[in-house]
Parts: sequence; structure tokens; C-alpha cells
Amino acid sequence: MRKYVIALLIAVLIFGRLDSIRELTDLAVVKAFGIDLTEDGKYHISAIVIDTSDKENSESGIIYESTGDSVHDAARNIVGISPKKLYLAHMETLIISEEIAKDKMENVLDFFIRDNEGSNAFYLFIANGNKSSEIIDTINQEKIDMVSFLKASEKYRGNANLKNLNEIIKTIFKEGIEVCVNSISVKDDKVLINNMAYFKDWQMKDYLSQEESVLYNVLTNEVNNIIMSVGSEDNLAVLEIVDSKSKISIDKQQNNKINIKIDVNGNLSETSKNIQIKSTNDLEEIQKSFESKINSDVIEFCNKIKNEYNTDILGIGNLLYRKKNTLYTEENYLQKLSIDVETNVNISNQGGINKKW
Amino acid sequence: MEDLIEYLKSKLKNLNDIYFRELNIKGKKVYIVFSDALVDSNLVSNYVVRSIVEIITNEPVDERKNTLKDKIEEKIGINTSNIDLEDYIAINKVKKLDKEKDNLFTYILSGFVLIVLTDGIYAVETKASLVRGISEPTSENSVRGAKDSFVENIMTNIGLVRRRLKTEKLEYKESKIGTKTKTTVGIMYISDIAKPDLVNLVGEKLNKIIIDGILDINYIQEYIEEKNESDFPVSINTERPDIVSYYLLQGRIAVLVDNSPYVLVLPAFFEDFINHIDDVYQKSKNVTITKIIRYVCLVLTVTIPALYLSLITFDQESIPTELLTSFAAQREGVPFPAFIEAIAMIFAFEILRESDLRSNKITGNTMSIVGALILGDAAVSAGIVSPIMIIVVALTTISGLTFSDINVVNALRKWRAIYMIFASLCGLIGMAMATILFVTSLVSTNSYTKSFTYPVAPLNMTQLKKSLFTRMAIPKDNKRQKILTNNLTRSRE
Repeated sequence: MRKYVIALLIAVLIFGRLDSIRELTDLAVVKAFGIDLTEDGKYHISAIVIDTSDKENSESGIIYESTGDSVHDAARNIVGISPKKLYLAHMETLIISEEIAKDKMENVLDFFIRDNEGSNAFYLFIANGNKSSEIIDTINQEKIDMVSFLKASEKYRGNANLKNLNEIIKTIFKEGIEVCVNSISVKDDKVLINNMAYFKDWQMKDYLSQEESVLYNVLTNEVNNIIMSVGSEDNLAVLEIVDSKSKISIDKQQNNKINIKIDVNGNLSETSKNIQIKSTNDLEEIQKSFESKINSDVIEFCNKIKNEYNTDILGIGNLLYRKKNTLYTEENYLQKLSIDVETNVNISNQGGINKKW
Repeated sequence: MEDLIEYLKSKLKNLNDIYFRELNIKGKKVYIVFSDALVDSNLVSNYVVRSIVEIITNEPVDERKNTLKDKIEEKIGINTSNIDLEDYIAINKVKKLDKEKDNLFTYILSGFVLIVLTDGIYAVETKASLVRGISEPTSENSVRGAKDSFVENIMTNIGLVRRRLKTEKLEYKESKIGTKTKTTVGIMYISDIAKPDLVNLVGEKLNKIIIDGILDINYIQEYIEEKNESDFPVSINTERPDIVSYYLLQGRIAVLVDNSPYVLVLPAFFEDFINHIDDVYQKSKNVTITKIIRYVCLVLTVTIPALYLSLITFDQESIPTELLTSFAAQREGVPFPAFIEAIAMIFAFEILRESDLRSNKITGNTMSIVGALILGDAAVSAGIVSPIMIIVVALTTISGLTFSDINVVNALRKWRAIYMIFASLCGLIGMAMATILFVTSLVSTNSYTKSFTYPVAPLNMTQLKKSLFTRMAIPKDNKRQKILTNNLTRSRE
């Protein structure tokens, strides 16, 4: 008797999953997905599906486009033109147009959050200045591997970060913190990872500048390998930052004072002829000039956030909220804060003529 | 006497290899009966017949030869005309038989010469050597180990073990099993190492066997493993005397069967089938990687086809996109569902293995080439199977061949099929369920009152440290295992 019960239980467990069986050849594996808004308010989607019939070249893809009242409706409509069902679990890139980001972000992302098929570990981009279908088209033509492209951009330019949709959504749902999302555009038939777009309450406001994008990523500890320079022409010094750590905290004495501490470790990668390093004093001077540059940049960026953007992308509100600071409940709390920046630059390697190999 | 001969003749009239000879020496009638096929005729004529004639006539047949009888007579000076044949025949194994109690046919058909006199029946052993010589092991290869292997003669096999263990503590008890075959079955153990209760248990199990014939060691194995319902064997089958000696020194018991070149060692644990004697013959520090490879092979051979199936039919999100793309591109155009494709390919490879085992060596090679070409290359070019499937099946097969015991290989094959069925019905979750079943089945296996999964369950850290991923250096490894023996110290008597 017990044997039969166990067998029955196993059977129930096994056969319960039989309906989710899908042969690999019946799936249209979507690599990138773009969503636009049409003039009559419908959703237009374009998806790059990996072309599995091309055995030699696994990079090649086919683009399917369709329109529908909702994202899911539009995705279902693709079945009419593609023999296979769209499979989103291996999606790498989701591109949404600016109009959607400004107005209907919540509605569009809801489809991806609810979908139980995928893991939502893909990267979200805002189409900056182009339609997302155009960008999808270019990505497919140029056969761009978006993941390595984004990783390179994050690592060497610092104006993009590697937050996937899951992390972005988690940030959106947190108290007192707003997100910035990578943006992407097409310039001269080349795809370009552009500056970040900042949000407030599910709505995209505008784009940060290139420097601000980098500073944002440094302050949120998202990137740590960027290049920065001081001086100009014959006084130029360029620092390759290999490691940076920033910490935002509330001052222990004044509860409306925010301390930002940045530790930067870098190598001197390029200097002009007037910069001479003959002693540690010279090096300290260069370090100091970098420190003051970072300080002033960060202060300027914070002032802009406070007065112009008025959105808490650095998560100071979250910090206040966690410390049960009453300031957080007040409206426009950002304007009431005073911000103090302390930077510590350490140049560990100045380079030399002798190469090791 | 004549009655007895008539009785024997009537009983053996359809056995034309039985030879009856009547000797009439100085009015004294002697009958000798033997099987022509089993005896060494040189022994019969030179030692049996000659001895009888010499004893009865009281003088050597060959004058040049000083027989034993002469010496005795010269020294002691007694009349040998009425002395017992048993004492004077020039062959070691002589026995006086009682025609009521003893089964005379058994003796005739075991290669004895029956000497029938008026005052008694004697059986003299004149067995011809009907076995091949000692050769290299065929199914258990070793890089550094001894190159001798057991043969079909149980006495040779005992000798091969005794050569290695020269102690009076190495005890050997034999019994005849099989109402028709009367096969010699012996158990061997080192009396001060092996646990007596285990020796008794095996002895009892052997005594209980009632069957017409024992042809192979497996008959015995199935009788004494009767309660083992697991797919894995709980005793080791080996053809190598060094392995038997190695295990005897640990306190295990060997069971030998005449006519089988394999010896059974028990109890066996799961780790014994993964470990190999070669580990002991090689530098201990380098054994770790070998062991890891074997563990990986164990996992691979059971799970790889199931893993592939669940990844491409259920859990596509669990593999990297590039790999998925590559899988999808290869599967494109294959006419069968993945499960059918996998089952068909694995079946085809099993056919190849089976035919390779059964066929003779000359056609065997041709067949494997044809099989490999057809299954590997042609099937892929024809688009019937995907290349990845060939890789999966090949990996499965070569991983499975790292285990030498055929029973283990077959048990792993069965579990591979169970894994595949579960995986094809519910993917990775199914594999998890199959793993639960597999582990449950393993831990509930009993190896002669010991747990099969020792030293993992029941956990024995000392033994695990010694043998899981390493092998302890031999000078340091001076303790025996408590589960096998009460005599724990290896380093002194």
C-alpha cells in the first residue's frame, strides 16, 4: 500500500511538469527586444531571434516586428509571422523608447516582471534619440554582442553600469532612491552606448551628461576603472583609476549634513612636459590636484541633483529613512542638505621607461 | 566383489569413457575402474597398476627400480602379502571406501581410480591436469600490479593466494556443493583478522545451498547475496590474487569455486568499486586526481544524458545563451524528439557493446569499426542525430568504462535509464527525484550486515580521510578498519 502511495506521489510530481515540455527546436530564442509606442497608442515590438538554421554562424539573427494593444498581445501576434514561439529567458537586451520611459514604463516592465519564464537578468536601455526598432535593426546588422559591449563600456568609459532589470526594479521599489538607466542610440549606423537617463517615480526625466554619468557610477560604486585628467595642454596629467570606493553617510553631529568619502587608487597614465615628478612632494601635489578636481566635480554634481534635477539618484533619502531621520518625511529634503566631500587619491604607479618584457 | 563390479558396470553402461580392467595376479583378482577422460593414464599405469602388482607379488616389476615396498621390507622384514593397500600405493591421495556409505560414482567421476579388491575398495587420485596455465588478467588491468590471474583449478587459485600470504592463520575450508556437479567451494580468511561471526555467516549460507549444479562463481554469489535487492553487487568479483590477498589482509573473506577463474570477496562497499588496487601500487600523493576523475566519471556516466535532456527540453534558461544557440543549431532538422534521439543512440551503443562482448575477436574488431562509423559519422551526416548527442553518448560510455566490475557497469546503466526517464518527464526536478531514489537505494543496501555506503553513511571520518580523495601513505596507514576486523593494528602481530 505504502509503495503505491509513494509511486502515485512521484507520478503526480512528474506528470505535473509535462505540460511545460518544450523542444529546443520549437523555441525562438530572443536575444534583444525593443518596444516603441505607435502614433495611435499601440505597442510596437521588434525582437532579434537567433537564427538556428544557420549552423555556421550562431551570431546571425532574424528580426520579427508586430504591433498590439499590450506588450503580450504584440508578442503573441509574432506567432503569426514566425513558426516558433518567442522565448524570452535568454534575452540580453531590452530597449524601450523615450516616450514609454517617460510615461508608460510601469506598464511595459510589468509584463517582464510577471513573466515566469525568464530570470529578468537582462539589461535595460532607453533609446536615446532613436526609435528602438532602429537600434534593434542596427544591432542585428552589426552582429553586436550587447553584453560584452556593455561590459566594455562599463569598464573603460564608466558612463554605463551593469545593473540588470532585476536590480533596477529592486531599486525602484526601495524608499528614497531613484534609478538611472543606461541609454543607447545609433549614430552613423553604429550603435553607441550613451549617457544615463535619470528617473523620478517611474518616469524618465532627462539624461545626465557624460561626466555626470561617470560620477554617478563612481558614487554608487558601480564602476571603478575610469580615466580622469587635470590641467590642460602642457600641464595635463591623466589618471587611470583602477580602484575607487565611495561612501555616503550622514554626519554624526548635524543631521542635515551628508559626508561623501571617496578613496581612489590609480596609475598615472599620461603627463605633459610641464609635469615633473622628481620627489614625493611633486607626486603629492598631483594627488592633491586630482583630489580637488574630484571634490569640486562631485560638489557641482550634487548641487545639480539638488537644485536642477531634484531627484534622489544617490539614495540619500534611503540613507535618512534607514536612520529614521525625520528630514526624509519633509518635502524637497534634498535642498535642505549640505554636502561635504572628502577625497583621497593615491597614485601607486607612475610608469617608467623600463618595460618588464 | 564380482557383484559390485556387475553393479557398477550396469550403472555405468552408458558412460563409455569409464574403463574397467581386470587384473589377475597370482590368482588374486583385482579390478580397477576409472574414467579415461579424467585420469592421467601415465599415473594409472606407472603408479597404480605397478604398485598393485608389486604389493601383491611382493617383488618389484622393474628390477632396476627400488620401490618403497622393497625398502620397507628390507628394513623391517615383514611380509606384505596381507597389508593394507592404502599404506603402500605410490600415490599420496588414497582412501579406503565403504561401498554402503560412499558414493563410488563421485570418485570415479572426479578423476579417481577405483581399486576393487576382495577385502576392500580403494580410491586413488590420478586426476589429469585439465586446466590452462596461469595467464595475465583479462578483465582487470593494472599498470604496476602483479600480472598473474586465477585459473579454473581451485587448487591453483588457493596456491596463488598462499604464495602471497605465508601464514598458518590463512585458513581454508571447503565443501562440495551441487547434487550433480559436486563442485568444490571453499572459503578463505585470515583467522586472527576476519570477524568470526562473518565467517560463520558465510559458512551457514554455503551450507544451505541445495542445487543440482554450480557452474560459476555467480551461482554462489547469488545464493549468498540472496537478500540483496539493490542493483549493485555487495561482493567483489576479481580474477587477481593480489586483490584477494589485499582484501584478506583487511579482514574480508574470499569464496573460491572450482572451475571459475573469479574469486568472490565479501563484504564489499560502494567505495571498493570506485577505488582501484592500482591506487595502492602508485605514489599516494598523486592518487587524488585519479580518484577525482573516477568520481566525476561516476557522476557523468549516470547523469550526462539526463542532464542534456532536461536542459534542452525543460530548463533551457539554465544554460548560457551561446551554448543554447549551439545546441539549437545542431538540433535543427533532427526528425526525432530529444528523448527518442537519446534513447535510440544509447541503445545503439549498448548494442555495439553487447555485440563486441559476444562476438569472437576477429569479427569483433570489424564490427566496432563499422558500428562507430555508422553511429558516429554517418548518422550525423544523414541528419538523423545531432553531433552533440554523439558527444553525450560517447562521454557516457567512456565514463562508464572506468569501472571494471561488469555488475557495477550494468547497475550504472540501469540508473542512467531511470535518470533519463525522470529527466524526460520533468527536467532537472526529475533528476533531483531520481537522485533521491538513487541515494535511497544505495543507503538501504546491506552488505552482509554492514552498510553498503560505508564510510559515508554511517559516517566514519577516519576512513573518509584515508580513502575519499586521497590514499594514506602505507607506513602511516597502520590501522585496519573497525567495520571489518577486531584486530586493528597492522604494524605488529
